[in-house]
Amino acid sequence: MKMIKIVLTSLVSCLILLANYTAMAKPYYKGKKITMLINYNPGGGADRSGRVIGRHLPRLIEGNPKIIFKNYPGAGGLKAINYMGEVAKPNGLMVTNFSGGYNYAMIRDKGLRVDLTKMNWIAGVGGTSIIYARVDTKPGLKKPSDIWKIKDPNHFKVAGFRVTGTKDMRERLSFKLLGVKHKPVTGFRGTTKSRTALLQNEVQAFGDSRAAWFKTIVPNFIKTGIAIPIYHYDRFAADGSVSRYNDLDPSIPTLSGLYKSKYGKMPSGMVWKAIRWIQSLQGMMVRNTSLAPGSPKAAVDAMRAAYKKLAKDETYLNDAMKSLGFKPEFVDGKTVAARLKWAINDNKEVQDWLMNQIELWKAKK
Amino acid sequence: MDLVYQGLQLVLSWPAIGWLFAGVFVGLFFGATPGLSGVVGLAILLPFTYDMDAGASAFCFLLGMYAITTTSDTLASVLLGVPGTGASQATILDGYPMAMRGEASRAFGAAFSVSAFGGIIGAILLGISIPLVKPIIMAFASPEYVMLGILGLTMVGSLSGNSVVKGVLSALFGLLITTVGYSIQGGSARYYFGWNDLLEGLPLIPVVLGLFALPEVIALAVSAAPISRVPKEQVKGGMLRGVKDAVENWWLVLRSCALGMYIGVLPGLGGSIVDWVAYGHAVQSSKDKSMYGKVDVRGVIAPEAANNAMKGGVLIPTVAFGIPGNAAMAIMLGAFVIQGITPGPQMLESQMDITFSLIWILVIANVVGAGLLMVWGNQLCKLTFVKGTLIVPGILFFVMMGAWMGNQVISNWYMLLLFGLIGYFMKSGGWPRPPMILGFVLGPIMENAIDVSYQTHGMAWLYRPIVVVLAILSIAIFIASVMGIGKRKKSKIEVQADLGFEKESPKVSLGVALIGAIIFIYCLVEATNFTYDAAFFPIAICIPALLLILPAIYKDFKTISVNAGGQIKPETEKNGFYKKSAYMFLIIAMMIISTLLIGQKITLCGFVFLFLYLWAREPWWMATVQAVGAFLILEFVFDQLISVMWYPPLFELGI
Repeated sequence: MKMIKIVLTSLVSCLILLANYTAMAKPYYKGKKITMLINYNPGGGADRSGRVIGRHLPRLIEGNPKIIFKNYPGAGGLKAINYMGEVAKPNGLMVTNFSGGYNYAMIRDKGLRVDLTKMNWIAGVGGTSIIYARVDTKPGLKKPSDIWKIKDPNHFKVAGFRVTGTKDMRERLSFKLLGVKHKPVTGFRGTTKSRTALLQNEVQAFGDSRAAWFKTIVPNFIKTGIAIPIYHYDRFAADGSVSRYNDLDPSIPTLSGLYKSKYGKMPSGMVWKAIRWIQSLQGMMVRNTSLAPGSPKAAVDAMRAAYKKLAKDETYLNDAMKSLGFKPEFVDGKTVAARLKWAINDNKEVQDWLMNQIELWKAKK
Repeated sequence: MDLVYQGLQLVLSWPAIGWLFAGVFVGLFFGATPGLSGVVGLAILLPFTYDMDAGASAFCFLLGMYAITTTSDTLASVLLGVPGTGASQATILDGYPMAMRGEASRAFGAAFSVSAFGGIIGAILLGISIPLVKPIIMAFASPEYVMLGILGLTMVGSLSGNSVVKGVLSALFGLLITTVGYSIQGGSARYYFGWNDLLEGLPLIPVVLGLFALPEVIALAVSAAPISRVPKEQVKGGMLRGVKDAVENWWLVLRSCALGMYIGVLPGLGGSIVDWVAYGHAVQSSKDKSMYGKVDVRGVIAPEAANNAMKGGVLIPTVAFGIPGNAAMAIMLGAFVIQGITPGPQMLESQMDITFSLIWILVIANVVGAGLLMVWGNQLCKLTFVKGTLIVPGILFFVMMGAWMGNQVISNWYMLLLFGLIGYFMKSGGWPRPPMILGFVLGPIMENAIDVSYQTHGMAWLYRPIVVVLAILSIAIFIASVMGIGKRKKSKIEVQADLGFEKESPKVSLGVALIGAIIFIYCLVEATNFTYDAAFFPIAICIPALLLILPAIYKDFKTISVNAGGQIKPETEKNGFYKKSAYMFLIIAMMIISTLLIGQKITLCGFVFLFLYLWAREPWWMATVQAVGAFLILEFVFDQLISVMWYPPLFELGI
């Protein structure tokens, strides 16, 4: 009897070892085709960054799968997000390269039908926006601190898209924090219309991403003397400390740095808390990568490992520098997941306050 | 001149010239296939340019493809009455009737020659207008966009056929349906009935295809007659006659090119309005307007010249300021960045050779593309003499895939069917459809521009000099076009009798008017629940609409009373046309249900087979060949090449 038990146990152990060996021997993605889903139109920032990643990722994923791209724009990126949560098969064969999306969860947007905390987060890329303004804004802007000389809000109109967008929320809160007289103008359908309006002096200020900053804004607005940078949003660490984005010109202050230059201390209060709350995710999820909920662990692990390699891959980073104008800094998926969960679930006071502010902004308009 | 020559050298060098030809071939396909377009082509081709050399190859490939799509889109517009791209909608108004009269070749001859010419003129105007562009872009801000929108709407008079009231109502309805979805202005959703797919608003391509293409497809299916109502032997004139038409109307061509170019320069206006504006201008500026909307070749010449010249226009703000002129240019901007070129002032200073190479690409691509189409066009015209039921499956296949392509959701097909019904009844009742599309295209531009104008300028936006000039021009044009309609009324009856078109049904017209009235009333009442900013536009549309719809209803009642006296009886009521049409709509509805259950590929291929075998009573082998062909196109073109997002059906059959 004892002998039979030993034999059976050995047999089971061998079978388990064999199964694992087989699984280990064959990488999950070998021979497979991955679809990279992009939630905005071709040619835009999310598309370009996704395609640059897609050119290098296959060699870094164990099994060297093929990657194809699908653009699925609509509803401010929401359509693709809902698709990932509701329709995409949980087989690890569809990976996202989304722009934003977390903002909808933050403001409890009814259009968002999926629980983002259930997505399998692979990686995130943080970013900041740089706010710039026309030099001929009355009474004339030569340096960032000149914005406090503005007396009439109608002389300092800031272009925005929609009241519930991350961009608009941050800019409204930031200028409120700084105590700058300004007038938000919402309704511009995209960055093209906003930049055109700034060129035409219909508005005097706008904010753009880092990629657009280097490739479009600096050559066409800054170097031509039309506008100057005012500030960029701080990088927020998990411990609450702030720092700047070092690839930006040192003359461009952070928001907190600009505030401190005027008021002699770091910002505080609910407005600052709300900005930090928004930026805590913006700083690591401007672009974000995930697999559908329920995807196999092997797929999640393989993809996370690949992105970890990608973050340090010189060939990719040089390519990104050429195509995007900067080298993306990746945050790992576990950190993204934890931060997202914290932002959505553990900040009710700020969330409620911000939702109330949004209603006030809508009414005031 | 050195720089001009250097630009040419960049394009003619190898492998750039090879890529240019490759781009032209690809562009011919993307333009001719309804639902695909230059934008889709650019999105697909962009990744192929990553590894191209730092010379002109990438731009030759991409721009060469993009330049030609508004030439090849004429194929579907003329032959099938289906817009090949969004910039070819107006061409249908006269191009398709010309095909029905056996004059497809003539329409092609005129279209291809002015397309080539329009592309060349657009490129030349691009080159000489660069110094002028900045002041133009600076002068046309949101207030001027509002007035441009209103100016565009004055074309309604020219597009209204016999009834300016119906035309205005159709345009107002087009404006109204643009308010469906999320209002950026008001920060709230309007008229979306809790259906998230509608939050983005109604999609353009399914609406256009539904309004224009479905009624024609159904008419073909029901009548089983060829597209051409005139036998081949009786057709007079061909492609060369069309070329001669283009030469004879050289002044119209030049004006249309200028319109296309300078509208293209203004960022955000888009290609969809260029052809309508050019068409409307052609009507307004003609002494004899009697044949417009019937078989006037000038109705093909004007939009085709304009939409090709527009390509040069949209390039200017992209190159000069890094501000994309339209969605396609946003992709081109990505191409510039990938190639290490930064669009902006330096493109007009130290990199003029590259700028001139772009101009040469437009010129060469347009000439080569038009030349190729001239050679192949005659063969394609033979389609118009083929029995209608043989080509209906193919047309409907491309209409449905074209409607799917935009944002690839099933609601696109619902909209296609809904607007197909609307278009069908509008056509039967004599309600003009082009004004609705004009309103639909201009609505978002205008509502947004009004809102931004008020936020940035207050009421002072109304007193800006260009706004005032455009306002006066709009009023003058509208009055002139209304007066022109009176003169056309008499000749229309003669044209109809000559060409055998069905007469309008006043009963159907009344039905359309009554349903329209209910919709306007509902929307007006519902708008009172919106925030002020969200309610403004719908209310401003519904009130005049309700005032105008009363005389339209009265007129139809009166006509029905006269008909009841036995004086005129529309032919369509006699021969079961409506009954057969209803079956066709039912078939399309069943295709949608089938897609929900078993997916698109099986449904579309199954439809092709069943329609040919059961409805058209063709041999099983012919039905099989077409069905297999449909499958191959779905698999290799739409799936492998374009990577379409298919609808996930209830029963996944693994196809």
